[in-house]
Amino acid sequence: MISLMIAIPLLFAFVSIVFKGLAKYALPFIVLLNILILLIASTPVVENIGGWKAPFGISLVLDDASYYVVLVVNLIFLLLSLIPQIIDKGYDTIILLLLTSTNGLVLTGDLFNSFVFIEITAAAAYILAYHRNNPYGAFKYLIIGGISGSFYLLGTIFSYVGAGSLNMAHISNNSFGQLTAAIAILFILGLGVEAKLFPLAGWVPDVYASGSSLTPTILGTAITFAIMYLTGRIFITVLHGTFLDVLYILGLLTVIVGEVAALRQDKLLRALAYSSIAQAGLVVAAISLNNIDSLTGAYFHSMNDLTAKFILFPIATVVIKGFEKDRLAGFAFSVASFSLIGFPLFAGFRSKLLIISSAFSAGNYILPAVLFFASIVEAAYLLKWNIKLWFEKSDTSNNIPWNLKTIVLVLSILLLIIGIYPDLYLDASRKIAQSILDTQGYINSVLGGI
Amino acid sequence: MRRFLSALIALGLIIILLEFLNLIPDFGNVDLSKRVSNSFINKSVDGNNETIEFKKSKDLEDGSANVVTSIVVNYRSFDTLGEVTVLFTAALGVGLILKGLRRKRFYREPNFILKTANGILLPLIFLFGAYIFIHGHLTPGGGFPGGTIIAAGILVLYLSNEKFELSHRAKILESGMGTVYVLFGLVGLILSGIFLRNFLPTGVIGELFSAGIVPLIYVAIGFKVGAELSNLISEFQKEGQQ
Repeated sequence: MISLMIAIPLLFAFVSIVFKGLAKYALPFIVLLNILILLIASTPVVENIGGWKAPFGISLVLDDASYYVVLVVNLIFLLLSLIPQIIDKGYDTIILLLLTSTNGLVLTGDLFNSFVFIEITAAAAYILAYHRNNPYGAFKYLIIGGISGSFYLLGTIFSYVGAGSLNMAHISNNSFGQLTAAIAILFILGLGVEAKLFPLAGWVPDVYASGSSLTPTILGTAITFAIMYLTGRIFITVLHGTFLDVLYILGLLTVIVGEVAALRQDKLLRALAYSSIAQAGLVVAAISLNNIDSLTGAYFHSMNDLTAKFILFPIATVVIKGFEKDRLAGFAFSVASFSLIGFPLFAGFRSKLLIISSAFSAGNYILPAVLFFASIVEAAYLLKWNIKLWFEKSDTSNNIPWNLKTIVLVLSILLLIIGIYPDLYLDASRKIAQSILDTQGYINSVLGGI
Repeated sequence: MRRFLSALIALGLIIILLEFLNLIPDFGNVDLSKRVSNSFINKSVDGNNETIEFKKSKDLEDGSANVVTSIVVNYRSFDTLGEVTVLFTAALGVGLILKGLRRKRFYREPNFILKTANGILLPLIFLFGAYIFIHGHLTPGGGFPGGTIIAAGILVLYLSNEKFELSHRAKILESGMGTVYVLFGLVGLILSGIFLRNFLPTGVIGELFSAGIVPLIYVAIGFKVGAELSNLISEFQKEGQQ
């Protein structure tokens, strides 16, 4: 049944290039169908495509981790389908393809299949990046994304050379021997671009700050979350946590460079894009600590970040004149930025606290120090933007559509609720973390105890 | 400074990749029994260990004589569906980016040789392309190369005729054939509960009518890739207003 979550959006994407306009109306129903399938499914589900048993064919795996990640991704697409104004004509099909590939990326239990879905995601993302005439940013992304894709493919090939299989559970069960280092380096290079790690994240500001609200809203939330899941899955479940130190250092560097660069920006969208890089670095650094609390914190923080970014990016693209006439949107913007900084009583505080406490209990003092530094810098630039937008005099409102206003308001109240009562996000992220760390359980459920 | 750094990074990558090359086992020294591909070659995923004879073995788990096809369109058909989607996305992107441009015209007669040769060669090109994808489960080739050959025929048409325009039906064909591929998967899901299940009998290996849904899928891919690349060619024939 879970293959329907990939097949149905793909079917509608194919049909919608002849019946134009179909994609726009079909998107909310398709996403609702996906959520319905998720609600009636009971984990773990392993579906062998074509009926070929596990290490030989391609398996789709719906365990606790992929269940919650797919749920979050589909909820984001549901929210996006409720604000159809930001999806320009002709881009509905791209959103459907992006939904297909993100679902596939998370559900697949096969390395080469995940490469195929990364390719679809990237191709759709290049087109979105070009949106609103941003040829330079899109071209830069195309080149660096293409190269990183080939590194990912090379990593997949080396895994096949070493373990003789492409199935993630089977690879995890076999050993690579001397190839481990090569595979880990290739996967770091391959995932680093999409995961926005420091030396490879140069494309982010140009693409996110192109002036389209669609591009950063979807790439910075759903896709980032799916890639973070894949990073955890590959480096912890499949590679058993080897070479995580490299990811840790890269993650910390990303946090520092991202925050410092965000501070120096004089355009709000670019500042938010750099903040996106920094948050991604923090999540990767927390994932690389490889224990249950830090992984829970990482995914919890990633969920808080994407909730905040779903508020910040659409508002930042439409607001030019300040919040004097749009107090509700301004309220949502401020709540999201306070959550991002990590003020107490806001959602971001909970996740940052969890990451810091998990790092301390693992005897690590560098990550908390970097996190404190990052929070101070974040406070500096986000408060600066809040003050600027609240106190700017303006006579006209910004024409924010009512449905966008409602959605950002609901999300900002959600951030406040999470800040006081974090269990809603915390339970989901703890399930993701447990399931990613449970390598043996994953192998058993896919290979059936061979 | 920037150039120097870029060169340094590129050099580092080259050294790393050359270093990795040593890790790959030598040609012919691989223990195939430890790899999943061994079962693909012997068609023994479901535990059938009989020797396979060309034009004799019947009702195997996978009926295509071409081992590449049996992996690409049967054992790992889902990947091929994904690859078809990658090409679809790329073609869609070209269409979106080059939207609203006119056909480029040179306003001069194409070469006489090109025009005459085109009349003779075009049917042969199309026939060859169709042959490649119809026989994809028997001989080297398949939907992707077959479709590309057909699109090459369209390119020749564009070069030899200034007035040639690809009709809107190419888009419908592209969309329809993609839909057919997904529908084949869904029919498998309805009949046996498994997506992309080969629900037709596989027949005798090596016959034209064998391998179940594999040749049908390859025909769909052939038409889809042909229509898609033809659309791409027609998009790239356009120019901007100056």
